[in-house]
Amino acid sequence: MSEKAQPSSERYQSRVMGWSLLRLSELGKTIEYKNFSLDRHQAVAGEQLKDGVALLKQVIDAYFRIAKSIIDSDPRDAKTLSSINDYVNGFLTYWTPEFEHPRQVEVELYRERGDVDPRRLAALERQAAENEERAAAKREIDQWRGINRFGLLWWVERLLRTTGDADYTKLWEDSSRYFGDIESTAAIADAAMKEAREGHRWLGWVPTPEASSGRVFSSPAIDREFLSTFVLLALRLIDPAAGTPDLGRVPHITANVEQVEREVAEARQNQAITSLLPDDELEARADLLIEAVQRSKRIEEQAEEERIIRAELDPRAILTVETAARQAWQRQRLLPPLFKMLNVYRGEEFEEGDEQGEWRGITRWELKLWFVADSSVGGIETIGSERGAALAEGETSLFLDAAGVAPEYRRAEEESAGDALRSAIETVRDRGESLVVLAPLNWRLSQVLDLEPAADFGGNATPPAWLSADLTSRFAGSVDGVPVIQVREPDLQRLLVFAAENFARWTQWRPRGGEELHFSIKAYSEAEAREAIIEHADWFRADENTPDEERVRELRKAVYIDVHENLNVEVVEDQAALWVPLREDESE
Amino acid sequence: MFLLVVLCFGIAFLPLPWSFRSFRNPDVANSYLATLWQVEAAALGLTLVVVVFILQTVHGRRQRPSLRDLAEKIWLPALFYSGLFGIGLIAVVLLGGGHGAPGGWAASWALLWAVLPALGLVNLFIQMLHAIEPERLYRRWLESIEKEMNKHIEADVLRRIAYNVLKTICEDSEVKLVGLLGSSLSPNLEPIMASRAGTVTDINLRRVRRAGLISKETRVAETHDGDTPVVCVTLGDRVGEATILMRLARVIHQYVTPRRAFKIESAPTEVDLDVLLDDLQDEALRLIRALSPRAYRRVNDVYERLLLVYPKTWARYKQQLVGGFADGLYLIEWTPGRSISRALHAEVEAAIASADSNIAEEALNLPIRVAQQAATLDPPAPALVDEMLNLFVYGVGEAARL
Repeated sequence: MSEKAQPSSERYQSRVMGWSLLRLSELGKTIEYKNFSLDRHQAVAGEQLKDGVALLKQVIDAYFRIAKSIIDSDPRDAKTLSSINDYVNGFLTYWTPEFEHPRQVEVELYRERGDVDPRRLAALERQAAENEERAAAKREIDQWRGINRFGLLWWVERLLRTTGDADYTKLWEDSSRYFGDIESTAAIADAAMKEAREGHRWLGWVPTPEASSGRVFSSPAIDREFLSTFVLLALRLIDPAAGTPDLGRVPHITANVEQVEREVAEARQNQAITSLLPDDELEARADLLIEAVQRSKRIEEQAEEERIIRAELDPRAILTVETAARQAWQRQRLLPPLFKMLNVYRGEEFEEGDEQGEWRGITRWELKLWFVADSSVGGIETIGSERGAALAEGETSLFLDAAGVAPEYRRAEEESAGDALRSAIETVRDRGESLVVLAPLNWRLSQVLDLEPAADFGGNATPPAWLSADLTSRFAGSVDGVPVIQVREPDLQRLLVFAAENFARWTQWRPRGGEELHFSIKAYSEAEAREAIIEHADWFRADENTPDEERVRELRKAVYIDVHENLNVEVVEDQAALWVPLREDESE
Repeated sequence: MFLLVVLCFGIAFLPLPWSFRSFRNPDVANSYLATLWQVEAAALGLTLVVVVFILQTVHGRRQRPSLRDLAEKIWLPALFYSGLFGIGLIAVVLLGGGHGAPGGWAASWALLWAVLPALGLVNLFIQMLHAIEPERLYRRWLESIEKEMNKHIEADVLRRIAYNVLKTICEDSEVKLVGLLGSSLSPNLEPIMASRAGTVTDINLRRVRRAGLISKETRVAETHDGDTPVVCVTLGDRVGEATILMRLARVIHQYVTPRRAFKIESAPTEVDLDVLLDDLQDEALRLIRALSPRAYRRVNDVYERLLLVYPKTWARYKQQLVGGFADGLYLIEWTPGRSISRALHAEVEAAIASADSNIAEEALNLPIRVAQQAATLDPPAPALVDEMLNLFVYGVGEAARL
């Protein structure tokens, strides 16, 4: 500070501060006059209103940042801090769109009269909508003031915790008087936590430690620290005689119920902030607060459940899962591409009620949460792709079951698996040209069978062209030019060599006008759910005594996904295949 | 210049019948012109001495407009050359060049031409006395800085607007728009390289759009390992020779001639922004130290107008300034806005530290004035309001910490 400034520094500072706050207020008033007209005939809406709200919020934000600077320098400067609050309160004092007419309820009453003029009704609806828009803007500004006050209170508390200076205690108590009731305080705290989580507004307030300190600096979780501020406020505001307060919907607070309990405990132990706690009935207040938060959480969860239960399924989510299922099924099908190439795959249609073939499918329950609009859950494609892939895998099992009628190669005791396979191949080659070997999954397979290994196994053998790109990892190699494909069959302990063009016929059925792969998702209505739990006594039953209401509720929180197909694999010439047994040590 | 030469010498050769009465006698005309020639040469020389002396005086001042600007404002070059050509004209006439020389129309024209610089010299002296007044010089200096900085700011804004437009076109035609660091994307497509170093001064959006749409229709990505066309530059980017401007499958080149989509020109010589800003900031700091709030206000007026160029230029192109006020196209880009912001922060800090309330209030008044105007523009400029409030809060914070 210069010598010239010293004698009158306080006067200088006071003058500059007073002048600055006034000028900032003039900016706020300029914005107010342009965007928040008191004259209802010049009332603004739409983009101009949004602009006004955004600009006024910037001015309010500036005031509180200045307040923070003052607190950092001189927490005893109550006069300046008070003037800041006055200026902030001075905006939109006389702008009261929440009392403007018509309101929506009045429009509804008018509509119900039955003798309405459509044009007048349309005009009233438009005016009511604009009034509501302006009222919402006012609420947003009010909430912004509250959020900023809350942020300032958090800052004072932080300074008190770190310094223990009694000046901050007084300042905190004075600032906390702006929070008059627990319900609105909870709403503001919740909004402040959301704001802290989504932006970095208050992060810049926390000084970065000097590099020389050697300490690792981690950004404080300011939204979590806000919870502590809320707890301190709430303990003062709760009236033990009034019972458990209703906090309303405060999802950011209720998401941290355990932390609320910890903060309550910590507040009582931290000497720096015990002075902020109420003197009387602290235990009772703490219990009521925890109970209030827990109740609010339950209400929140119930509301969310109800939302999901009532929500319609999102067509985009359904399409995403269905598309993933179909694509996975197509890409993971092992043998159908080969059979199609050799014209032994037939696609047939049947009439409804006259199904042919064998139905195979996967039916499973999933959370309805993933299929409603505004769901924050991502990656639902895997729900479909897993089912599609599993269905495709099952086709190979069906084929192997059908192939059970094929004869088995008589393997000599000293004959190696590789030699046995080669002999079997020679035998089956008389029955056809398009030979394939199916083998169990075994990382030692190329050794055991003495294959020409595939690239994945360090060799040069290339997979057959008909093999899906998603399944090339199953290609183990070749034996005498015959591809050896590994299949995921835990019970398979032997090899199958078959001539694909002659061994079997594959018939894939579909309903007339339908698709080979059937896909459906079902969400149950109330009536349907009640019928279903009667029909399926074991559905959503935790135990014998699970109430029906609970079962209905659980069922309605889920969706039933059904993916299935209808096919038939018929062995035509059983001699066109041979099973080659593997010894125990060869199939491990 | 050429016109001056043609006027000066050409008209003497026109076969006009008119001349001054005395000049009908060639001997009289000869004698007159011989004397006039010397007088005119002496006067021109003397004038030059005076002008150089005055320019030297101006050059010694720190806050001065460019000497070239000053000289052009007072028509010094035109006057000098017309005087010089006048001497040459007299010589030509004396040697017999021109209609009726050394008398007649040619001699009359030589006399008339000599009068013009004489009148011009009178005007020159009046203007010079006017122009070198300290207040005028200072004002002209501020104006010249503002004018140059305006160019930088407008170019910066135009660059951002152009980027937005280019981005929209690219998104619509499925062309990726990446910065210069992304030129390695789509490696399977052929690079289109700059044929010379310079600045990208224009991009033909029609060609870019066509390139994207044709690539999509012909499914180029399927035969190029999924690679899609990429544009790697935007308006205002400086490129070197062989900088990759775009990547496009060779098969598409015949339809769009992609090299013609980019116009690259040598960067015009202009005064560096930081030099201008340093001058302005130095002046502001000098006035702050001198505790001259009124003079300081004039510098702030310049800042005020410069800052408002941003939203006004955006509005002129029917767009709204969005995003951060000083944001560039790339994360680490240093923009004129950032430079101005940094300078203003330093000035506000110095003003607050001066402990003079008038200076401090003037410093803090600037961001409020600008914010008020930015808030009441149509559409408003919240990004500029935000920047100004940051500056204001910073200044008030400095005051609180005293």
